[in-house]
Amino acid sequence: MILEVKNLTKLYRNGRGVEDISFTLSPGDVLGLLGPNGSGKTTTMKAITGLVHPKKGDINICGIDAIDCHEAAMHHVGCLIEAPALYDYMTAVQNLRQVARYRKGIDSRRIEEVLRMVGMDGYKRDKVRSFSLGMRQRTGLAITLLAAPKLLILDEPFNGLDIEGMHYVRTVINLAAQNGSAVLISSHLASEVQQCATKAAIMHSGKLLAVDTMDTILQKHDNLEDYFLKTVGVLPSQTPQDFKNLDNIIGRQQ
Amino acid sequence: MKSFHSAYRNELTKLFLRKKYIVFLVIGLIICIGWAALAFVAAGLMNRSAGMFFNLTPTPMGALPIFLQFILPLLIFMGATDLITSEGSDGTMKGSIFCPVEKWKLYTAKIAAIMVYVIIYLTCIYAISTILNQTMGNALDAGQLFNAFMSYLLALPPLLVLATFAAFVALLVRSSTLVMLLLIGSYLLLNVLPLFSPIFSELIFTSYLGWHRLWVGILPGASRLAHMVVILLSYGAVFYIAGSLIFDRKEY
Repeated sequence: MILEVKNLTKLYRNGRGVEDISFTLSPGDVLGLLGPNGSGKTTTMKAITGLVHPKKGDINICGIDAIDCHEAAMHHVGCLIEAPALYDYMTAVQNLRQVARYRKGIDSRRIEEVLRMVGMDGYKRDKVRSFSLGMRQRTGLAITLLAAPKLLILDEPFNGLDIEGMHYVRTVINLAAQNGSAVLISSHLASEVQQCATKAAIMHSGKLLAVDTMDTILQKHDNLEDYFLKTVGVLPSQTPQDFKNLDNIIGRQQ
Repeated sequence: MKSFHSAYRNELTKLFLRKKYIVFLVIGLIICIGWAALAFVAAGLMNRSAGMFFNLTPTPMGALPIFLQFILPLLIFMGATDLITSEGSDGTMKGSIFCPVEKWKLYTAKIAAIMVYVIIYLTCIYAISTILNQTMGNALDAGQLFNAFMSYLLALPPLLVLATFAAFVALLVRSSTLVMLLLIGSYLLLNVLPLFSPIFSELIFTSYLGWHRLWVGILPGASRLAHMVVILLSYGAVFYIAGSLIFDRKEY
Protein backbone atom coordinates (compact mmCIF):
# COMPACT_ATOMS: atom_id res chain seq x y z
CA MET A 1 0.00 0.00 0.00
CA ILE A 2 1.39 3.40 -0.95
CA LEU A 3 -1.12 5.62 0.80
CA GLU A 4 -3.51 4.76 3.58
CA VAL A 5 -5.77 7.47 4.97
CA LYS A 6 -7.86 6.35 7.92
CA ASN A 7 -10.63 8.39 9.59
CA LEU A 8 -8.96 11.68 8.72
CA THR A 9 -10.63 14.65 10.37
CA LYS A 10 -9.49 18.23 10.06
CA LEU A 11 -11.83 21.04 11.02
CA TYR A 12 -11.01 24.73 10.67
CA ARG A 13 -12.25 27.40 13.06
CA ASN A 14 -15.18 28.17 10.74
CA GLY A 15 -16.35 24.58 11.08
CA ARG A 16 -15.34 23.60 7.55
CA GLY A 17 -12.77 20.98 6.69
CA VAL A 18 -12.99 17.22 6.28
CA GLU A 19 -14.53 14.58 8.49
CA ASP A 20 -13.80 10.90 8.78
CA ILE A 21 -12.11 10.46 5.40
CA SER A 22 -10.71 7.01 4.61
CA PHE A 23 -9.23 5.63 1.40
CA THR A 24 -6.20 3.71 0.17
CA LEU A 25 -3.95 3.87 -2.86
CA SER A 26 -1.96 0.94 -4.22
CA PRO A 27 0.83 1.01 -6.82
CA GLY A 28 -0.58 1.96 -10.22
CA ASP A 29 -3.71 3.58 -8.79
CA VAL A 30 -4.78 7.00 -10.02
CA LEU A 31 -7.47 8.35 -7.70
CA GLY A 32 -9.37 11.41 -8.89
CA LEU A 33 -10.98 13.50 -6.15
CA LEU A 34 -14.05 15.28 -7.45
CA GLY A 35 -16.08 17.79 -5.56
CA PRO A 36 -17.31 21.36 -5.59
CA ASN A 37 -15.35 24.24 -4.07
CA GLY A 38 -15.07 23.85 -0.31
CA SER A 39 -15.77 20.12 -0.39
CA GLY A 40 -12.44 19.31 1.30
CA LYS A 41 -10.28 18.05 -1.58
CA THR A 42 -7.40 20.43 -0.94
CA THR A 43 -7.67 20.05 2.84
CA THR A 44 -7.31 16.28 2.44
CA MET A 45 -4.19 16.78 0.34
CA LYS A 46 -2.79 19.38 2.74
CA ALA A 47 -3.26 17.00 5.67
CA ILE A 48 -1.45 14.20 3.84
CA THR A 49 1.52 16.47 3.10
CA GLY A 50 1.74 18.09 6.54
CA LEU A 51 0.58 21.57 5.57
CA VAL A 52 -2.27 21.31 8.07
CA HIS A 53 -2.53 19.23 11.24
CA PRO A 54 -5.35 16.69 11.39
CA LYS A 55 -7.54 16.67 14.48
CA LYS A 56 -7.63 12.90 14.32
CA GLY A 57 -6.95 10.03 12.00
CA ASP A 58 -3.96 8.20 10.56
CA ILE A 59 -1.98 8.80 7.40
CA ASN A 60 0.53 6.20 6.26
CA ILE A 61 2.77 6.71 3.25
CA CYS A 62 4.65 3.57 2.18
CA GLY A 63 4.10 2.21 5.68
CA ILE A 64 5.48 5.34 7.38
CA ASP A 65 3.34 7.40 9.74
CA ALA A 66 3.27 10.73 7.87
CA ILE A 67 2.05 12.69 10.90
CA ASP A 68 4.83 11.63 13.29
CA CYS A 69 7.61 10.98 10.74
CA HIS A 70 7.07 13.77 8.22
CA GLU A 71 10.66 13.76 6.95
CA ALA A 72 10.83 10.02 6.25
CA ALA A 73 7.36 9.96 4.66
CA MET A 74 7.98 12.92 2.37
CA HIS A 75 10.91 11.12 0.73
CA HIS A 76 8.25 9.17 -1.18
CA VAL A 77 6.02 12.09 -2.11
CA GLY A 78 5.92 14.68 -4.86
CA CYS A 79 3.22 17.34 -4.56
CA LEU A 80 1.68 20.22 -6.35
CA ILE A 81 -0.98 21.79 -4.16
CA GLU A 82 -2.79 25.00 -5.12
CA ALA A 83 -0.37 27.32 -6.97
CA PRO A 84 3.14 25.94 -7.56
CA ALA A 85 5.55 27.02 -4.81
CA LEU A 86 8.11 28.80 -6.99
CA TYR A 87 10.57 31.55 -6.15
CA ASP A 88 10.07 34.38 -8.65
CA TYR A 89 13.65 35.64 -8.39
CA MET A 90 15.10 32.22 -9.31
CA THR A 91 15.30 30.49 -12.68
CA ALA A 92 13.42 27.26 -13.37
CA VAL A 93 16.63 25.25 -12.82
CA GLN A 94 17.41 27.04 -9.54
CA ASN A 95 13.90 26.28 -8.32
CA LEU A 96 14.34 22.59 -9.11
CA ARG A 97 17.74 22.58 -7.44
CA GLN A 98 16.09 23.71 -4.19
CA VAL A 99 14.22 20.41 -4.11
CA ALA A 100 17.07 18.32 -5.58
CA ARG A 101 19.35 19.15 -2.62
CA TYR A 102 17.20 17.01 -0.35
CA ARG A 103 17.42 13.92 -2.51
CA LYS A 104 20.30 11.66 -3.30
CA GLY A 105 21.33 11.10 -6.89
CA ILE A 106 19.53 14.01 -8.52
CA ASP A 107 22.01 15.76 -10.77
CA SER A 108 21.75 18.42 -13.47
CA ARG A 109 20.91 15.77 -16.06
CA ARG A 110 17.85 14.65 -14.13
CA ILE A 111 16.75 18.28 -13.69
CA GLU A 112 16.99 18.85 -17.44
CA GLU A 113 15.22 15.56 -18.08
CA VAL A 114 12.15 16.49 -16.04
CA LEU A 115 12.06 19.99 -17.53
CA ARG A 116 12.08 18.40 -20.96
CA MET A 117 9.35 16.00 -19.86
CA VAL A 118 7.00 18.92 -19.11
CA GLY A 119 8.09 20.96 -22.15
CA MET A 120 10.02 23.60 -20.18
CA ASP A 121 13.57 22.84 -21.31
CA GLY A 122 13.56 25.94 -23.52
CA TYR A 123 12.98 28.19 -20.50
CA LYS A 124 15.26 26.57 -17.94
CA ARG A 125 17.49 29.66 -17.51
CA ASP A 126 14.60 32.14 -17.43
CA LYS A 127 13.46 33.75 -14.20
CA VAL A 128 10.13 32.40 -12.96
CA ARG A 129 8.74 35.94 -12.64
CA SER A 130 8.53 36.05 -16.44
CA PHE A 131 6.51 32.81 -16.66
CA SER A 132 2.83 32.57 -17.57
CA LEU A 133 0.39 30.65 -15.36
CA GLY A 134 0.73 27.56 -17.56
CA MET A 135 4.55 27.70 -17.50
CA ARG A 136 4.50 27.96 -13.72
CA GLN A 137 2.19 24.97 -13.57
CA ARG A 138 4.54 22.95 -15.76
CA THR A 139 7.58 23.96 -13.68
CA GLY A 140 5.67 22.96 -10.55
CA LEU A 141 4.93 19.61 -12.17
CA ALA A 142 8.63 19.19 -13.00
CA ILE A 143 9.48 19.73 -9.31
CA THR A 144 6.88 17.14 -8.36
CA LEU A 145 8.38 14.56 -10.70
CA LEU A 146 12.02 15.29 -9.88
CA ALA A 147 12.60 12.46 -7.42
CA ALA A 148 10.37 9.94 -9.22
CA PRO A 149 8.14 9.72 -6.12
CA LYS A 150 6.02 6.71 -5.21
CA LEU A 151 3.11 9.00 -4.41
CA LEU A 152 2.16 11.93 -6.63
CA ILE A 153 -0.30 14.45 -5.20
CA LEU A 154 -1.64 16.93 -7.74
CA ASP A 155 -4.21 19.52 -6.79
CA GLU A 156 -5.96 20.95 -9.84
CA PRO A 157 -3.04 20.05 -12.14
CA PHE A 158 -4.91 21.17 -15.26
CA ASN A 159 -5.34 24.74 -14.01
CA GLY A 160 -4.12 27.34 -16.46
CA LEU A 161 -2.84 24.78 -18.94
CA ASP A 162 -3.35 24.87 -22.68
CA ILE A 163 -4.30 21.76 -24.67
CA GLU A 164 -0.67 20.74 -25.05
CA GLY A 165 -0.08 21.27 -21.32
CA MET A 166 -3.08 19.14 -20.41
CA HIS A 167 -1.73 16.43 -22.68
CA TYR A 168 1.63 16.58 -20.87
CA VAL A 169 -0.06 16.24 -17.48
CA ARG A 170 -2.15 13.26 -18.61
CA THR A 171 0.94 11.60 -20.08
CA VAL A 172 2.92 12.20 -16.89
CA ILE A 173 0.12 10.77 -14.72
CA ASN A 174 -0.22 7.69 -16.93
CA LEU A 175 3.55 7.11 -17.01
CA ALA A 176 3.83 7.48 -13.24
CA ALA A 177 1.05 4.93 -12.72
CA GLN A 178 2.60 2.53 -15.24
CA ASN A 179 5.89 2.79 -13.34
CA GLY A 180 4.18 1.69 -10.12
CA SER A 181 3.55 5.05 -8.47
CA ALA A 182 0.19 6.00 -7.02
CA VAL A 183 -1.38 9.30 -8.02
CA LEU A 184 -3.92 11.39 -6.14
CA ILE A 185 -5.42 14.20 -8.22
CA SER A 186 -8.18 16.67 -7.62
CA SER A 187 -9.96 18.52 -10.34
CA HIS A 188 -13.13 20.33 -11.24
CA LEU A 189 -12.86 18.84 -14.73
CA ALA A 190 -14.64 15.49 -14.59
CA SER A 191 -13.72 14.79 -18.22
CA GLU A 192 -10.00 15.15 -17.48
CA VAL A 193 -10.24 12.93 -14.41
CA GLN A 194 -12.18 10.36 -16.40
CA GLN A 195 -9.38 10.22 -18.96
CA CYS A 196 -6.55 9.54 -16.53
CA ALA A 197 -7.96 8.13 -13.27
CA THR A 198 -8.43 4.45 -12.43
CA LYS A 199 -10.58 5.32 -9.39
CA ALA A 200 -12.79 8.27 -8.52
CA ALA A 201 -13.86 9.63 -5.15
CA ILE A 202 -16.69 12.10 -4.69
CA MET A 203 -16.37 14.64 -1.91
CA HIS A 204 -19.04 17.01 -0.67
CA SER A 205 -19.20 19.24 2.42
CA GLY A 206 -16.08 17.68 3.89
CA LYS A 207 -17.29 14.11 3.54
CA LEU A 208 -16.24 11.34 1.22
CA LEU A 209 -19.51 10.22 -0.37
CA ALA A 210 -18.25 7.45 -2.64
CA VAL A 211 -15.14 5.76 -3.97
CA ASP A 212 -15.26 3.43 -6.93
CA THR A 213 -13.12 2.15 -9.77
CA MET A 214 -13.52 3.93 -13.08
CA ASP A 215 -14.54 0.67 -14.80
CA THR A 216 -17.41 0.14 -12.35
CA ILE A 217 -18.50 3.77 -12.62
CA LEU A 218 -18.59 3.71 -16.41
CA GLN A 219 -20.53 0.42 -16.44
CA LYS A 220 -23.35 2.06 -14.48
CA HIS A 221 -23.19 5.66 -15.70
CA ASP A 222 -22.78 7.55 -18.96
CA ASN A 223 -19.69 9.31 -17.74
CA LEU A 224 -17.98 10.55 -14.58
CA GLU A 225 -19.92 13.79 -14.55
CA ASP A 226 -23.19 11.84 -14.49
CA TYR A 227 -21.86 9.70 -11.61
CA PHE A 228 -20.79 12.84 -9.74
CA LEU A 229 -24.12 14.62 -10.17
CA LYS A 230 -26.10 11.57 -9.10
CA THR A 231 -23.87 10.95 -6.09
CA VAL A 232 -24.17 14.49 -4.77
CA GLY A 233 -27.89 14.50 -5.47
CA VAL A 234 -28.21 16.75 -8.52
CA LEU A 235 -29.77 14.74 -11.31
CA PRO A 236 -28.99 16.02 -14.78
CA SER A 237 -32.60 15.41 -15.83
CA GLN A 238 -33.79 17.78 -13.11
CA THR A 239 -31.41 20.51 -13.98
CA PRO A 240 -33.55 22.39 -16.56
CA GLN A 241 -36.44 22.37 -14.09
CA ASP A 242 -34.21 23.69 -11.31
CA PHE A 243 -32.98 26.46 -13.51
CA LYS A 244 -36.29 27.25 -15.21
CA ASN A 245 -35.92 30.92 -14.31
CA LEU A 246 -32.48 31.13 -15.86
CA ASP A 247 -33.86 32.77 -18.99
CA ASN A 248 -35.15 35.65 -16.89
CA ILE A 249 -31.90 35.95 -14.98
CA ILE A 250 -29.69 36.20 -18.03
CA GLY A 251 -32.25 38.23 -20.03
CA ARG A 252 -33.37 36.04 -22.89
CA GLN A 253 -33.17 37.64 -26.34
CA GLN A 254 -36.31 37.14 -28.41
CA MET B 1 21.71 15.98 9.38
CA LYS B 2 21.68 15.84 5.57
CA SER B 3 18.19 17.32 5.48
CA PHE B 4 19.27 20.18 7.76
CA HIS B 5 22.32 20.84 5.60
CA SER B 6 20.19 20.86 2.44
CA ALA B 7 17.69 23.21 4.05
CA TYR B 8 20.45 25.53 5.25
CA ARG B 9 22.03 25.64 1.76
CA ASN B 10 18.65 26.39 0.22
CA GLU B 11 18.00 29.24 2.64
CA LEU B 12 21.45 30.73 2.10
CA THR B 13 20.98 30.51 -1.68
CA LYS B 14 17.70 32.39 -1.32
CA LEU B 15 19.48 35.22 0.48
CA PHE B 16 22.33 35.50 -2.02
CA LEU B 17 20.04 35.35 -5.05
CA ARG B 18 18.26 38.50 -3.86
CA LYS B 19 20.11 41.55 -5.04
CA LYS B 20 19.38 43.62 -1.94
CA TYR B 21 21.65 41.47 0.23
CA ILE B 22 24.55 41.98 -2.16
CA VAL B 23 23.76 45.72 -2.31
CA PHE B 24 23.87 45.86 1.50
CA LEU B 25 27.24 44.14 1.46
CA VAL B 26 28.55 46.74 -1.02
CA ILE B 27 27.13 49.53 1.17
CA GLY B 28 29.02 48.03 4.11
CA LEU B 29 32.26 48.06 2.17
CA ILE B 30 31.65 51.70 1.13
CA ILE B 31 31.10 52.63 4.78
CA CYS B 32 34.42 50.96 5.64
CA ILE B 33 36.25 52.87 2.92
CA GLY B 34 34.59 56.13 3.99
CA TRP B 35 35.43 55.50 7.61
CA ALA B 36 39.05 54.69 6.79
CA ALA B 37 39.31 57.86 4.69
CA LEU B 38 37.84 59.92 7.54
CA ALA B 39 40.26 58.37 10.03
CA PHE B 40 43.12 59.11 7.63
CA VAL B 41 42.10 62.79 7.25
CA ALA B 42 41.57 63.12 11.01
CA ALA B 43 45.01 61.67 11.70
CA GLY B 44 46.52 64.19 9.24
CA LEU B 45 44.75 67.10 10.93
CA MET B 46 45.98 65.99 14.33
CA ASN B 47 49.54 65.84 13.11
CA ARG B 48 49.37 69.36 11.68
CA SER B 49 47.70 71.25 14.46
CA ALA B 50 48.27 69.88 17.88
CA GLY B 51 45.62 70.42 20.34
CA MET B 52 42.35 70.01 18.41
CA PHE B 53 40.72 67.09 17.84
CA PHE B 54 38.75 64.57 16.76
CA ASN B 55 40.46 61.31 17.08
CA LEU B 56 38.66 58.60 15.18
CA THR B 57 39.34 55.05 16.30
CA PRO B 58 41.15 53.37 13.47
CA THR B 59 39.30 50.74 11.52
CA PRO B 60 38.34 47.85 11.83
CA MET B 61 37.19 48.61 15.40
CA GLY B 62 35.99 52.12 14.60
CA ALA B 63 33.21 51.24 12.20
CA LEU B 64 32.03 48.12 14.07
CA PRO B 65 29.43 49.89 16.29
CA ILE B 66 27.70 51.33 13.19
CA PHE B 67 27.28 47.83 11.81
CA LEU B 68 26.27 46.28 15.13
CA GLN B 69 23.73 48.92 16.08
CA PHE B 70 22.16 49.74 12.72
CA ILE B 71 23.10 47.79 9.62
CA LEU B 72 23.30 44.22 10.87
CA PRO B 73 20.05 44.41 12.89
CA LEU B 74 18.33 45.75 9.78
CA LEU B 75 19.77 42.91 7.69
CA ILE B 76 18.69 40.33 10.26
CA PHE B 77 15.16 41.77 10.25
CA MET B 78 15.07 41.70 6.46
CA GLY B 79 16.36 38.13 6.39
CA ALA B 80 13.76 36.91 8.89
CA THR B 81 10.99 38.73 7.01
CA ASP B 82 12.04 37.35 3.62
CA LEU B 83 12.66 33.77 4.74
CA ILE B 84 9.71 33.39 7.07
CA THR B 85 6.88 35.93 6.67
CA SER B 86 7.15 36.52 2.91
CA GLU B 87 7.43 32.81 2.18
CA GLY B 88 4.30 32.20 4.20
CA SER B 89 2.33 34.93 2.46
CA ASP B 90 3.48 34.22 -1.13
CA GLY B 91 2.93 30.47 -0.80
CA THR B 92 6.55 29.37 -1.27
CA MET B 93 6.81 28.01 2.29
CA LYS B 94 4.66 25.09 1.09
CA GLY B 95 7.46 24.04 -1.25
CA SER B 96 9.88 23.76 1.67
CA ILE B 97 7.39 21.82 3.80
CA PHE B 98 6.81 19.33 0.96
CA CYS B 99 10.51 18.51 1.09
CA PRO B 100 11.74 15.68 3.32
CA VAL B 101 12.78 17.80 6.26
CA GLU B 102 11.33 18.19 9.74
CA LYS B 103 9.85 21.59 10.40
CA TRP B 104 12.15 22.40 13.32
CA LYS B 105 15.16 21.72 11.10
CA LEU B 106 13.75 24.02 8.43
CA TYR B 107 13.20 26.77 11.00
CA THR B 108 16.70 26.30 12.43
CA ALA B 109 18.14 26.35 8.89
CA LYS B 110 16.51 29.72 8.27
CA ILE B 111 18.11 31.23 11.38
CA ALA B 112 21.42 29.54 10.53
CA ALA B 113 21.37 30.99 6.99
CA ILE B 114 20.75 34.50 8.36
CA MET B 115 23.66 34.06 10.78
CA VAL B 116 25.98 32.71 8.08
CA TYR B 117 25.14 35.77 5.98
CA VAL B 118 25.98 37.95 9.02
CA ILE B 119 29.30 36.09 9.48
CA ILE B 120 30.17 36.56 5.79
CA TYR B 121 29.24 40.22 6.09
CA LEU B 122 31.39 40.76 9.19
CA THR B 123 34.29 38.84 7.61
CA CYS B 124 34.20 41.10 4.54
CA ILE B 125 34.02 44.20 6.74
CA TYR B 126 36.90 42.99 8.91
CA ALA B 127 39.04 42.07 5.90
CA ILE B 128 38.51 45.30 3.95
CA SER B 129 38.85 47.57 6.97
CA THR B 130 42.05 45.80 8.10
CA ILE B 131 43.59 46.04 4.62
CA LEU B 132 42.67 49.73 4.38
CA ASN B 133 43.96 50.38 7.86
CA GLN B 134 47.28 48.69 7.27
CA THR B 135 47.86 50.34 3.90
CA MET B 136 46.88 53.88 4.89
CA GLY B 137 49.75 54.36 7.28
CA ASN B 138 47.83 53.63 10.47
CA ALA B 139 49.01 50.07 10.91
CA LEU B 140 47.90 48.08 13.93
CA ASP B 141 50.22 45.57 15.57
CA ALA B 142 49.43 41.87 15.83
CA GLY B 143 47.90 42.25 19.30
CA GLN B 144 45.54 45.01 18.19
CA LEU B 145 44.55 43.02 15.13
CA PHE B 146 43.82 40.00 17.31
CA ASN B 147 41.72 42.15 19.65
CA ALA B 148 39.79 43.48 16.66
CA PHE B 149 39.25 39.94 15.40
CA MET B 150 38.00 38.86 18.83
CA SER B 151 35.61 41.82 18.88
CA TYR B 152 34.09 40.69 15.59
CA LEU B 153 33.84 37.15 16.88
CA LEU B 154 32.25 38.21 20.16
CA ALA B 155 29.73 40.35 18.31
CA LEU B 156 28.11 37.16 17.00
CA PRO B 157 26.30 35.76 20.10
CA PRO B 158 24.13 38.86 20.67
CA LEU B 159 23.40 38.98 16.93
CA LEU B 160 22.31 35.33 17.08
CA VAL B 161 19.89 36.18 19.89
CA LEU B 162 18.60 39.08 17.80
CA ALA B 163 18.10 36.65 14.87
CA THR B 164 16.06 34.25 17.05
CA PHE B 165 13.97 37.24 18.19
CA ALA B 166 13.43 38.39 14.59
CA ALA B 167 12.50 34.86 13.44
CA PHE B 168 10.02 34.56 16.32
CA VAL B 169 8.34 37.90 15.51
CA ALA B 170 8.31 37.04 11.79
CA LEU B 171 6.05 34.07 12.59
CA LEU B 172 3.45 36.15 14.37
CA VAL B 173 2.20 38.28 11.48
CA ARG B 174 1.31 37.48 7.87
CA SER B 175 2.26 40.82 6.32
CA SER B 176 5.94 41.41 5.51
CA THR B 177 5.57 45.18 5.80
CA LEU B 178 3.94 44.89 9.21
CA VAL B 179 6.65 42.51 10.44
CA MET B 180 9.41 44.92 9.36
CA LEU B 181 7.61 47.78 11.13
CA LEU B 182 7.12 45.64 14.24
CA LEU B 183 10.76 44.56 14.29
CA ILE B 184 12.16 48.05 13.74
CA GLY B 185 9.69 49.56 16.23
CA SER B 186 10.45 47.01 18.92
CA TYR B 187 14.19 47.36 18.31
CA LEU B 188 13.98 51.13 18.72
CA LEU B 189 11.89 50.72 21.86
CA LEU B 190 14.34 48.20 23.34
CA ASN B 191 17.18 50.64 22.67
CA VAL B 192 15.35 53.59 24.20
CA LEU B 193 14.23 51.84 27.40
CA PRO B 194 17.72 51.80 29.02
CA LEU B 195 17.71 55.61 28.80
CA PHE B 196 14.88 55.67 31.32
CA SER B 197 16.33 53.23 33.81
CA PRO B 198 19.79 51.60 33.90
CA ILE B 199 18.19 48.35 35.05
CA PHE B 200 16.93 47.82 31.49
CA SER B 201 20.44 47.83 30.09
CA GLU B 202 21.13 44.76 32.25
CA LEU B 203 17.92 43.00 31.34
CA ILE B 204 17.35 43.76 27.66
CA PHE B 205 19.24 41.66 25.13
CA THR B 206 19.74 44.47 22.62
CA SER B 207 21.95 46.24 25.18
CA TYR B 208 24.47 43.44 24.69
CA LEU B 209 25.10 44.18 21.02
CA GLY B 210 28.19 46.15 22.04
CA TRP B 211 29.38 43.70 24.69
CA HIS B 212 32.54 42.86 22.75
CA ARG B 213 34.02 46.01 24.30
CA LEU B 214 33.82 44.37 27.72
CA TRP B 215 35.67 41.26 26.61
CA VAL B 216 38.56 42.86 24.80
CA GLY B 217 39.15 45.67 27.29
CA ILE B 218 39.52 45.28 31.03
CA LEU B 219 37.40 42.27 31.88
CA PRO B 220 34.59 42.83 34.38
CA GLY B 221 34.23 40.35 37.23
CA ALA B 222 33.56 36.70 36.38
CA SER B 223 30.13 36.80 38.02
CA ARG B 224 29.06 39.79 35.90
CA LEU B 225 30.23 38.06 32.73
CA ALA B 226 28.44 34.86 33.74
CA HIS B 227 25.31 36.89 34.46
CA MET B 228 25.43 38.44 30.98
CA VAL B 229 26.05 35.10 29.28
CA VAL B 230 23.12 33.54 31.14
CA ILE B 231 20.80 36.42 30.18
CA LEU B 232 21.77 36.16 26.52
CA LEU B 233 21.42 32.36 26.53
CA SER B 234 18.03 32.59 28.18
CA TYR B 235 16.69 35.08 25.67
CA GLY B 236 18.06 32.98 22.81
CA ALA B 237 16.56 29.76 24.18
CA VAL B 238 13.15 31.31 24.85
CA PHE B 239 12.87 32.92 21.39
CA TYR B 240 14.19 29.83 19.59
CA ILE B 241 11.98 27.31 21.40
CA ALA B 242 8.87 29.50 21.16
CA GLY B 243 9.57 30.12 17.46
CA SER B 244 10.15 26.42 16.73
CA LEU B 245 6.91 25.45 18.45
CA ILE B 246 4.88 28.08 16.62
CA PHE B 247 6.46 27.14 13.28
CA ASP B 248 5.72 23.46 13.91
CA ARG B 249 2.05 24.15 14.65
CA LYS B 250 1.60 26.76 11.92
CA GLU B 251 -0.54 25.75 8.95
CA TYR B 252 0.14 26.91 5.40
